[in-house]
Amino acid sequence: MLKLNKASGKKGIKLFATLLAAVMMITGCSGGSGGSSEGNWVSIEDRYTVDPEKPAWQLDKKEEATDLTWYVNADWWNTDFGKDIVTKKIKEDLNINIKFITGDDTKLNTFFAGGDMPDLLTVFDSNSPVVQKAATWAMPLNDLAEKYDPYFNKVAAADTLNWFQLADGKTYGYPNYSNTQEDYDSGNIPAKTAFIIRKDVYEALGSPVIGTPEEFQSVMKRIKQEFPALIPFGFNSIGEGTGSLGDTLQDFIGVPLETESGEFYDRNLDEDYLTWLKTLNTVYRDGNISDDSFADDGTAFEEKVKSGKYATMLLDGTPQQGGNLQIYMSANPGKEYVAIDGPQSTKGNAPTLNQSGITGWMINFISKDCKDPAKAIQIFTYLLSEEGQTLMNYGIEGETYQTKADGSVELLPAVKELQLNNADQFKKDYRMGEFMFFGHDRHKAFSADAFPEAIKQMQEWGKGKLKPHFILENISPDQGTPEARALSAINTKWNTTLVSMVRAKDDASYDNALAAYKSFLGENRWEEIVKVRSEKMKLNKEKLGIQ
Amino acid sequence: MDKLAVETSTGKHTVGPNGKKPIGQRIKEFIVDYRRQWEIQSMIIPGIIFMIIFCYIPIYGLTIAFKNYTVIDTLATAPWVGLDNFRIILSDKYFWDAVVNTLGISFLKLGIGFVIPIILAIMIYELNSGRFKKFVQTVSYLPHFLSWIVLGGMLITWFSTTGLFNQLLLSLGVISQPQNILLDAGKYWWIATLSDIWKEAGWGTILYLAIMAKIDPTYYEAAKIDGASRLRQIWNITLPNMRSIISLNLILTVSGLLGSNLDQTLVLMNSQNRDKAEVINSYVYRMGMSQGDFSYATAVGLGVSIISVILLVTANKITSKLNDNQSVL
Amino acid sequence: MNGKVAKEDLDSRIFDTLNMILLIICTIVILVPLWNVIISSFSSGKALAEGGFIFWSPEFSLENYRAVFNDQGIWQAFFISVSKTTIGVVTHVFFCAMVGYGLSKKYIRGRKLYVAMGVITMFFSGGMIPTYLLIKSLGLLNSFWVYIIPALFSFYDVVILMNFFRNVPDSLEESAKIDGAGDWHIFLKIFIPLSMPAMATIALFNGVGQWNDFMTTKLYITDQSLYPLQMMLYEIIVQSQTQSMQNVGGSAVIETTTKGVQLATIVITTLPIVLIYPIVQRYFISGMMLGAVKE
Repeated sequence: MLKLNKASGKKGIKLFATLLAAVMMITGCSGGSGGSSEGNWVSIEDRYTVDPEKPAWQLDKKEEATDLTWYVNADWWNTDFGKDIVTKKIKEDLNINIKFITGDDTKLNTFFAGGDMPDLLTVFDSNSPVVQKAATWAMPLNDLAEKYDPYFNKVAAADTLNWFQLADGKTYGYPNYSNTQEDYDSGNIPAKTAFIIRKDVYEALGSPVIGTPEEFQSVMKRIKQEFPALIPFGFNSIGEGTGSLGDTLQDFIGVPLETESGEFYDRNLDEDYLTWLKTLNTVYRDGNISDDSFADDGTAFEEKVKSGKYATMLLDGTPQQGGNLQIYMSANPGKEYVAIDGPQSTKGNAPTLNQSGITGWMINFISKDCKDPAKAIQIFTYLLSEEGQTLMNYGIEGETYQTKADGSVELLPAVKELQLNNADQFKKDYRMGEFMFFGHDRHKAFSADAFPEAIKQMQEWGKGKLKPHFILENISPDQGTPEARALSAINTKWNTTLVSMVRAKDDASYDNALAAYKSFLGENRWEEIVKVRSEKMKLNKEKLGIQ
Repeated sequence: MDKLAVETSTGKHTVGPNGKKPIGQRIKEFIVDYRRQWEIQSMIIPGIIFMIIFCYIPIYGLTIAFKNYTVIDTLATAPWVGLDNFRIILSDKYFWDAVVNTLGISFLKLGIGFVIPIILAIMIYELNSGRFKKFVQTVSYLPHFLSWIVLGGMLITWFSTTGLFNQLLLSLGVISQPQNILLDAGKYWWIATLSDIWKEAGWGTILYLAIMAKIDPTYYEAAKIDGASRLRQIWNITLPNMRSIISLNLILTVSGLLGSNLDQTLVLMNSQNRDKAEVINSYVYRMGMSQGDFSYATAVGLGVSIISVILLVTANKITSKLNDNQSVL
Repeated sequence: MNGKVAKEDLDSRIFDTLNMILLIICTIVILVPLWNVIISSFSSGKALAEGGFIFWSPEFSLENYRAVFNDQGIWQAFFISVSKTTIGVVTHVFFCAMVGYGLSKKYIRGRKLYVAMGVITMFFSGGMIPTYLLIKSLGLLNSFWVYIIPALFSFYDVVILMNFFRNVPDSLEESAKIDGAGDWHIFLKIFIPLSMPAMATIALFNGVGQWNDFMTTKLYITDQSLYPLQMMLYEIIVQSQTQSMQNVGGSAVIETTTKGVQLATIVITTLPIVLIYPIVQRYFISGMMLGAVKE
């Protein structure tokens, strides 16, 4: 019987406290950061001599295959290696075997805590200490390149290397889909947002212009009248965020990225943007936005896309919905979604559509425990080079693709056939487009097949409307600071406020929601947050050498 | 009670000044008793060893609650912050909102969700037809196997303005305009509770049915001869036999008041019902995720654990008093 | 006397009728959504996208199931699942019964301490990181035994069994001891057979847990040949979710939706349990027969 009388109660507590204390003493002894603190600088004397003009993987005479473990901090990564065309070639050319391990932050931490780091590591959050304190556990790419593979510097973008430079002046991580100013200027980056409308609706209404708030409202009304089965306006699932009604809408109408003096600008409270929010609220009150759109999760949204339920959509992430749009288009010819100019700024601003910035998406590192860092940097170089990118995206010339007279790339018919009809088999045998550690949109530009037909017009529409948001990247307060916590609360509050405003039953509720948010900012360290962000923006500009 | 109590071995002995036996003697008695009980004691020892290895050794991980531990730290390198984490949590308004929501939903689940499996089990038990009985039993526990991701997705579909729920209410004339109740914060507690009951009630009957299977049927026959109605039979025979397991479940449910179903919350919560939907573990999950902060989660977990144990012990004390001083632990 | 019997019969029959009606309603409330799940799992992606059906799918399709069974690893995974469930359940139930039996005797010295220790393990845990390091140092990483050994003991199950054992009359043990039986003998030959409903229940709970568990695999196993069914299913779902994300085969018409695959996996996972449960149920009945022991 567990009596909680004084004696055994005290005994129980004493017992537990002693246990805890004993255990804490043990942890004092338990070390953890194993391996050399300098990095495993193997010698390549008997393997090859470096040549700045040639990628080292072509020179390396190492005979045994190198076994490397590569940790990817994501559940969805396909861990197969060596069975499909792409990875088989990588395996041959580089003479390696890669064992992939997937996991989340907790699994990642067990490597740090347990002291046996994988050879290569890929994470997704540039804000996390993994990236920011990389100097403690990863090897600097600059030095690796110098010692093992100078050709790396030819394929890596200087801006990107600068961007990821840490306080000690060295770069440790390199990302994929890192777009520099050059990339934006080249026109190879496709837009990924659009205001789309069903072709049949558009034509039935006489191809109206939907630029001003008044036009927007009246067109929505007309759609409801003539197509009662459709929901006039839709947007990406909101869940706990803002769907496409936050940043996406702001970029669409070209809300400025910074103040005149180059400091942080609160785009959420921009006048132009608020005018459009009010418009959306009016449209909602007219009954032309469905409540379901606010409750739907990602799956429910995708289903609406596939069945063409929305007459118009402000869509963020056209490639992600490409498959769904394609399904809809194939089943409903003549009614496919097309991009039109849609809502315009009431202040005459041009759109500032966003795309992947310079931070990229997957950030790759070589750990200090790496068995063969020479091999590792060779892998980086290989995948970054034109050769690796082409292999990754299109496979092997003659076997999976052919180059046409105009220089563009086309998949061979048999391969294309498989891609269209048996996606699973295609993935197993070819796996093109997946091994994206160092992927980049500029390589996708070569082929007409890189993106589904359904979104090509939308990408075409977006040409010339992109504007890099480099200065706004990575400006959040550091994790663990009171500002970071306050910002988390503010973002949550904004998400709720935004939806409340659009769903406001009357002007009074609309104004109250907005006012409540403004006072919330004041109570939650907003000034400090703005200061931190402005400072980081300044740092960003220095890194990139812009004013 | 202790019909098989073993007498202590050293027979009569002198008693010390404060009325207790001297410690040397107590140890001696202990060892002798232990040897005598060796066969039984040997059954318990593997359990003790297991607990020490798998539960007590890793318990040093709780120290993370007193450190500032991020993804790249080891237990030795993470800096010590003492009670800071607790201070931050307790002064966080949103944390307390989450506590209110957690308790609100838990009490609803306790009040309704605790009783329903018992009633359902009795109803099934009272069925005469063997085949229908088996059918009902099987159907009742199937929802347990649905994952919340799937169930949540279904609920989103049904509660949408064009969904089943609204269609039903419209046709019955209960409402005039379709409404998506997932966007209504006030309804969230009921949605969470009732959907959870739907999913778990059937599974909860299994344990009770196992106990009821052991009730001697002659009791019922005797009661019937004495003229007792069915309800009376249930009240006087069935329920008392289930006492110990009901008490056990009650104690455990009470101790779990500060917990909640993370999967359910993550799927049903949206920015509109968040005020009423955010519970302790979903809040901690978000904070941990966005901050990469293990300390926060561990600190909250430690606090919740301590309170849960207190709740457990209190509930145990109360139920054992009600059960003629028989404790289930 | 006759009047009384008639009254009881009437009361009994009213009770039975009401009971039946209520249960039928409950069954319908439960069954309709479940039926929807099953039917949806047999629906094509297109039909699921359109939605709006309850009782019958507009477009019947086996694609969701084909997506699952296409995977070659699935049969190996099935084998692993069956192995870990059977071995795991047998060892777990026996281990917990053993400890539970010991703790059910009130005369055990140190009992209070043991129970206190056990209660603490139900609420306090060091968390995933120290547990991972422990598993690693025990050499259980990437080993089949990581499914069995850490799962041997659950204090909750011990307490349930402890309570069932206490419900067995003391007279049985007394008379057995008089006949000279040892504790192990009493445990194995008397208490276990009498507590079959409890053992069966724990076996069922633990079996379901073992069958459905994939967290253990996710944390400790990287060798695909040791993946159980649930892990394979989890990967299939996650992979299908990422198809659109990675824009693989941009123009591919996707026959299966993530939702469809998820539903199919639920049906596949639940099916074995539904088939096994009737066997378990038998133990509930048998306990009743043996329970008729007069003092």
